[in-house]
Amino acid sequence: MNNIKCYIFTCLVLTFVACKPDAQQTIVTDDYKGVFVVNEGGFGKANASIGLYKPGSQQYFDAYKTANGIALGDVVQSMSLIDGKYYIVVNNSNKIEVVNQSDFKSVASIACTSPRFVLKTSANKALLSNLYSNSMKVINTNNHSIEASIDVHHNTDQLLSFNSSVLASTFDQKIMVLDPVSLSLVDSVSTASGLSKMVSANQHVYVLCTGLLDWNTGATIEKGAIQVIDDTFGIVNSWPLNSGSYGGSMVYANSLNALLFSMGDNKIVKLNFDGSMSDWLVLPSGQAVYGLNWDAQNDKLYISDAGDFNSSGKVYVYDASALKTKEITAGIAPNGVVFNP
Amino acid sequence: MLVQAKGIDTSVWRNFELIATKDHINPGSIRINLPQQQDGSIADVLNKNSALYIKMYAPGSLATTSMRGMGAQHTAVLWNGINLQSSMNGILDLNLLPMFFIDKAAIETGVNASLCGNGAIAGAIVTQSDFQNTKKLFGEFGYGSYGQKHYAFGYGFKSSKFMLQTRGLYKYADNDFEYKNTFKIGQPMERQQNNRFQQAGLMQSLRYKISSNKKLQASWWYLNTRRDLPAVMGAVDHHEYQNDFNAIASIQYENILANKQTITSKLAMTSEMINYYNELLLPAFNTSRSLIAESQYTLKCHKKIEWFNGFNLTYQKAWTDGYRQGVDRFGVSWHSRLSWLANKSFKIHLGNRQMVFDHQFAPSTPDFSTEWVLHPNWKHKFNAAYSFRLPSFNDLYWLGGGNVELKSEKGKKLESSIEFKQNHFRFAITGFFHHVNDWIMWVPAVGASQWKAINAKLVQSQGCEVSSERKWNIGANRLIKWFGKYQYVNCINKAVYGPDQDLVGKQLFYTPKHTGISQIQFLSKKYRIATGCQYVGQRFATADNAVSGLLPSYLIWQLNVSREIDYKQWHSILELSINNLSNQTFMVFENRPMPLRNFYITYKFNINYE
Repeated sequence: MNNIKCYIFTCLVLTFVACKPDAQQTIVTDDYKGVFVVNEGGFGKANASIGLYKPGSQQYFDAYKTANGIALGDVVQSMSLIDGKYYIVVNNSNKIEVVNQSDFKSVASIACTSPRFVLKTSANKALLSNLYSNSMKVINTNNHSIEASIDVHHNTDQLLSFNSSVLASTFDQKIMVLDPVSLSLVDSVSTASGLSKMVSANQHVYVLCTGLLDWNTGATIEKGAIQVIDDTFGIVNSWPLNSGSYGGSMVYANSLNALLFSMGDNKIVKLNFDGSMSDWLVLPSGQAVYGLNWDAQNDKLYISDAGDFNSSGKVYVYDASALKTKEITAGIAPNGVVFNP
Repeated sequence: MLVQAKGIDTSVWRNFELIATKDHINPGSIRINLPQQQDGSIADVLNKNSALYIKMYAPGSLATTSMRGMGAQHTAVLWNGINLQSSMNGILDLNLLPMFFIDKAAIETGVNASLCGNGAIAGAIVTQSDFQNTKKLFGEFGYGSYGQKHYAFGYGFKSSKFMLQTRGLYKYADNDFEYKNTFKIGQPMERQQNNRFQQAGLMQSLRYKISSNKKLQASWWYLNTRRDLPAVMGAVDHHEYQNDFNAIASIQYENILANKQTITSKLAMTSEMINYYNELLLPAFNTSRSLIAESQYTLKCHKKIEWFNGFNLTYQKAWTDGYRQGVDRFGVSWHSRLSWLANKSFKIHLGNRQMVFDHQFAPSTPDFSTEWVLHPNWKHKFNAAYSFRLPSFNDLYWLGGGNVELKSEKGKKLESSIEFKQNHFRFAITGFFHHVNDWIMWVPAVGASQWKAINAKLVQSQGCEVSSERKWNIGANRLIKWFGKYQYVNCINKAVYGPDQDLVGKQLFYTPKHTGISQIQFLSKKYRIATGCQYVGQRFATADNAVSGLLPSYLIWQLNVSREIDYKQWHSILELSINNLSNQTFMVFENRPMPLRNFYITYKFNINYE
């Protein structure tokens, strides 16, 4: 019997010794200043995050998890600063997490359906666009509640303040124009196919339209265009592009006094306000632009590359002369950055 | 002796030969028999009795296996010799196959593609439904945590010429278990939502003995499974659910001729329909069908030489939302195998399968294997083989990403095993090396709105498998049994054919390096008490092996207590199982919680009325 006991004991011990404690990473930070990276995460994987890159120490960490001890959710679409608080829109979690700018601690969670972007419109008021609803929501930023709904007849996406109006892009070649005070729909603008990004610059709104592609074959049906909208909400210029794509990004680079845009490939084009275009940067093969942000304070371009959506994405930092200065390994599928200097 | 619920009285109590010495479909590989008399699906049984890493989102949800670090598409799942892998996506959901329909199940790691055909790059799970040799009524009822219940009945009839067997089952589970929500402040306990499982099935088998050397056998089964698909923790629930309809029908003729020649011919049809629903999307309807005709001829040319030849015709067709007009392919393959029994202790096997699909030659899959009895207690096996996997219909034709230019995945492998057997002790260790080129993956195309299937990389897997079992008799009516299995897998991207060069040298995601299982049982005349644990090591949730995506290891214990109850011809067992005994929080997939401690009570019976 002793042999039996010894044998059983040995088997059980061998079972246990195979286990070892899992390594844990501890990040200590005294503030939340730096460059926030909005990592969408993989759809249905709930691995979205807000990373914080601190240029001084060159440290990168999951800011939301570090501050709150919990994970964020599924697909972070955007993050907006309103009155000292960040509104983190977590699209497939149907919520907006509200955190302090100073310590990134969660102060509220607003339940809402398929949210996309939040924009402050007036004191204590913000607008929320919606992927699967024809209405936009009005958020009371005092008590973090949804207090009204505006019917805009389209599913909405990006929001932009322009000349005392709010512009909301849609998925139907239309930009809806709202009055931020009365919170009512006042106008709309029809655009070219593939309405992708709106940028306010030079007293106009520049709209990147990436055209129309055959979803099945990838063939271009309609090439893209950049359209210019003036303060009467009329299209005053439309500059054709020589290709089409599924989506793109565009930013205003103040020190270049020009726009930089990408059609989602590895090329970044400089667009002057007279409509002339030239290649500004071609990323190495295999890299692709998923988001563009311009750091106006330091004259740097931040390029988000989502990679394969299943590994850590990258954020490349280029200076105004298109020289690479930094490469940040981010979270899963970064789509943009937010500066908190 | 405890009865097998479906009427076979070779109970697991008596037959503890998990490392099998016969019935291999592949002579050079190790066969691990799975215990009979098990509840649940084949996924549940593999989880509790093997060192394989079974990937499942939640109980009852899509379950696949990672054998030797390979993908789900690289393990063939055979039922009565028919490959059940879907032509649409190349996998079989292991939670769809109920053990009540299965009489024998085994894992053959490293089985050769020449024997299984397309898809068996890593190995095979071999299942079989048999006939009972007596007239019997049999059945089982189960009830457990989270609204789990099942009812199953069977009937077996036998005459001198004719055998018949009927089985039917119904399973249901709410699966609304509690879990810790790590996405909310304070990490509160919440109940899993939208996780219901419902399955009903019917199986019918007939055998007619035409003469002493000829028999005809027909079998069919039909399963309808409705599953809710829970959202990942932290995400909103879109009330997703899926309806699966699976049907198989086969007819087989066997003729044993003079001079030990055997001819077996088989005609089989498989049908699979998957309907997917999501409140945000239009329903998706996917259907595939396969027609298989196979004939095998075995000739004993010489007292030491056996020659096997098999011809297979396979027609596959599928219709999905990705190719509504339907796609199809027709394949012919010839499988030949020469076995030479050099002497009582040494065997050599040479085999090859050549398949032609739609007028294109698939890669040849030659293999060479040996079995050498070094000593009455020691046996050595060696196996070297080529393998391949055809791209699935989805890989080839899915609109907006399918790639008709895809090449077949090509594999080659080497393995060597040592088996030791002495009295009531068995031990086997296998070292393996797999090399799979042109591994098919879906990767994002430019702009990231569209994904495309490509031959993305070369994967290399090496490691070892260890199995052992031991029995101690304690007096005439008591015994203790132990078995343990361990697997070490180092499965890395050796080369990447694209921009993601950072992935070279990285372990494949969701591939733990260490997995193991250990179980000890005490058996007396009427009682059986078993406790065991399953260990799954750390694994990465992301392809780049980022530390932030490292999932913790887990060790899950279970306890099983059974009591045999006999009354005249009525034999029955009452059994209590406690799963996750230590109430551990664990996840197989990132952010997909699994149940805490839970129980299941089963009553199984059979009535021999012969």
